[in-house]
Amino acid sequence: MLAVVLVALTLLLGLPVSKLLAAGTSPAGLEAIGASFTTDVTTLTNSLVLGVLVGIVGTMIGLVSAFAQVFLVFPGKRLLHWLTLLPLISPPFAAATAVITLFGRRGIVSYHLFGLELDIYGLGGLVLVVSMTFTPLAYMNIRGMLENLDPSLFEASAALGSSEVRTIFRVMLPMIVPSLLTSFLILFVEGIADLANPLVLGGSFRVLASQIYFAIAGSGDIAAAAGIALVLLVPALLVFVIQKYWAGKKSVVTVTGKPTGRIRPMESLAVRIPVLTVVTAWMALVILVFGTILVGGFVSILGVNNSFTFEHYEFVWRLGSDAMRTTLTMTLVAAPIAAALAVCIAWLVVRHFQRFGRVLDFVGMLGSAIPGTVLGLGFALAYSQPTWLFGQQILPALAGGLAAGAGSVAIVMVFIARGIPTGQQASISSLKQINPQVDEAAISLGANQFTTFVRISIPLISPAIITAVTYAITKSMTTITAIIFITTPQTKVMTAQILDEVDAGRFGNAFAYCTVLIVMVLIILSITSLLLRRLNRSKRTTAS
Amino acid sequence: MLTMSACSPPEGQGAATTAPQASGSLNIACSQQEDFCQAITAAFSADTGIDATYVRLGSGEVLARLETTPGEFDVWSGGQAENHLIADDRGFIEPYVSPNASALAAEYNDADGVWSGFYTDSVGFCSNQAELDKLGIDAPTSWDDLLDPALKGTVSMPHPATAGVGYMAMFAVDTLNGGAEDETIDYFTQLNQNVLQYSKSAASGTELAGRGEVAVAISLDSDCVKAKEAGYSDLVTSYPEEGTGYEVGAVSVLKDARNAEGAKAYMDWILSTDAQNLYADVPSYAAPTLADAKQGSSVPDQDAVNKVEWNLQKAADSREALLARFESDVASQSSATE
Repeated sequence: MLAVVLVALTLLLGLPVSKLLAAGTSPAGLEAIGASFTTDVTTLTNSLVLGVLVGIVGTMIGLVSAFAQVFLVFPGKRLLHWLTLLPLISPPFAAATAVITLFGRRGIVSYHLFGLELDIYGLGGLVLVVSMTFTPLAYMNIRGMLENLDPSLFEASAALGSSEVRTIFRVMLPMIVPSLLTSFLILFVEGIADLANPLVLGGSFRVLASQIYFAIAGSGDIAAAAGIALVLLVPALLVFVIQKYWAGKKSVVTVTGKPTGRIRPMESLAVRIPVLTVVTAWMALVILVFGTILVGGFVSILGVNNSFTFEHYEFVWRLGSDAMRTTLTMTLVAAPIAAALAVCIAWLVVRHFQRFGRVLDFVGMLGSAIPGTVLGLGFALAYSQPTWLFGQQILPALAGGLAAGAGSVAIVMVFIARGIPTGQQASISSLKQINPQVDEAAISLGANQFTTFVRISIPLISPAIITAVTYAITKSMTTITAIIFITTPQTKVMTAQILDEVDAGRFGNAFAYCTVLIVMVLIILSITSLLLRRLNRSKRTTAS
Repeated sequence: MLTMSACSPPEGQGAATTAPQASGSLNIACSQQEDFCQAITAAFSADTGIDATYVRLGSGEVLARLETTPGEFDVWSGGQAENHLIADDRGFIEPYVSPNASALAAEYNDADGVWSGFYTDSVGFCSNQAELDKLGIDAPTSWDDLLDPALKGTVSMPHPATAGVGYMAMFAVDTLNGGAEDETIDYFTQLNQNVLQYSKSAASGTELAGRGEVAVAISLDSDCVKAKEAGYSDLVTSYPEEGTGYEVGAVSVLKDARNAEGAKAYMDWILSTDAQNLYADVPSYAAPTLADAKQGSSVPDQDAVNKVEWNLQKAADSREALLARFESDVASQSSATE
């Protein structure tokens, strides 16, 4: 397993990153790095501020949603689940575009309903939209953790006379610190790497990600872009290291193998009222934004000319059906591979290699710590030509129209690299909750390590696996910046088509595309979650 | 981790797999809007029987792709002629003079056969009349009108690095300043006070103007008309009287094309009257370059626009320096919205 993981990580990340390092440390790259710390330091600080705010806001909302989902009984719980996940499926540009339509200076809600001239261009609007886009990651991560908590702890706390509020703050929150930190990390990295939203409503708020894009897409200046990318990499990696250090110290074993009860819903109004208020407001916002995307596909120009039309869908059908087929196929190939690699890495990291595991964990995380634009660039640099190792050609060209499979291999590889980190984090958090004695018990009963992994660990961390697959699917279907340099004439990708429509100012077409994409993802996710749940149940039956 | 040297091919073997080879299909790098690319590619295949596919890429993206994956595309269709010159300077273009090029006016052909122009349009000011009325001002008719304090935070300009028209605006002002770079940068630093944001592409600026998010967008006149016809009925186009920049949309054959014959056939075809007659129906609001080609009724009349003298080679040569100064001196300054 180790060998497979190592080869995969070398191909997915090692090679592209080393090509990037080479480009970034060339004279032009070093010059760009220098500028980021001297003449243009605001761009760097802007990125950091955005990342921190997105991390905080997104983790808070994710925590509240996950808490409501696990500990409260209320009408519309399933709806909340799906609505919370919805922004994750939102293709880049869609939410930002919808927010301008709703809350811009001439927005439907802000101006036409309330007569306000809001200024959403800049930091405020960005925090709103980027947090919204990535909150689902926090939600999935924290929910998995909350579900794994041992209910007897809550019973003990109640029996000792604590109120539910006190139990939340003194028992529950301290125990989920690792997953809160993990959420913060993921959201921070997504926040500083996000390109789509700053391009659409960044205003004068400049961030590193868009600067990289301007350097490449504008001037084809690969060295400068790689240089700026290295600057962006530093805070991402720094936060990652801090999170490892803290979370590692504060991690708590909660799955002990001993029998536990069921989580009992909390009833105190002091808990219900604030939580449900936040959740309702959040749901309203999501409905508003996605309602805009849905309606926007069926009217001529939403907010300007609201007459009903099918022309956007006709356009999408005419130009997009090819892209839909290709995107779907590549996603279905990439997602299971990404999830399997994520789980394998997690297992190796948590159970087998205490020291070396950190390195492995680190490398796996690079898939999302590296901004998409840059990773895509690394792929273009590494795989446009055949790969050579000590005088032997080991791989043909994989990227670009000249390559095997018309460049689709490289795109699938990017999907896998981007799909690994979240699943890996979720699996690691989840595995850390399981007392190693559970594994030891299985081994002392005669199971070998592989059996233990398949029969014990995998069923116990199945929520994390669902996270891994879900995330790999959604990430593949919605990623744009990472593949923009390796799309080819024969391999059209939906998000790239959507970008073209936003670029061309045809928001109606973009909204229609997004709706189709969202529906496709929802269908795949429903099927996947059904399959995984069935698989999980059958394993439990055989085990009992 | 593998060292870099271990990954490089042995001498003399690396190029073998990318050497030109015959290929039935034609790969087009298309730097126009998606619907135009699609319609034109399909019409080309129907007319000539040559199988063709395209990727829509901005000019900068094409330049980057030519670096990373040479030989991937056979022909580059669209984008300003100066970008084709930059590609030629970097050794990516195979000069070809189409027999149809002789029918074009001199300004639409490169002297050395690097490119030929197949459409043209100009930089204009795309304003929302309702927003102008609210501000109590008229549509801008000079570059200085854009500096009006009444427009504070309500102008959209395409980023000159990613959108050709952004650079065209810069180079037009530079030409009006007689090439005095400092004055040009000074102008855009002042304009920065009025700019809401630098959009990635020109067309998203016309969208912002159409919606009323900004009062004025610096844009292509063809994009402005296109947005108006799409339903943004408040939009009006005006031009700077002292002179504006204009675009010659160019086509060129790329070096090491696997389908060089197809690429040449494409160039011949797009420069034919029959092909240019199609623009009106796409519709493209850019004007065809052949005098006898059919013009759409809404296409801005290019002869009526006062244009600055456009030195293509200088536009290509100055691009890097002007963009660098734009990044360091203009865009990084705090603007009106803060």
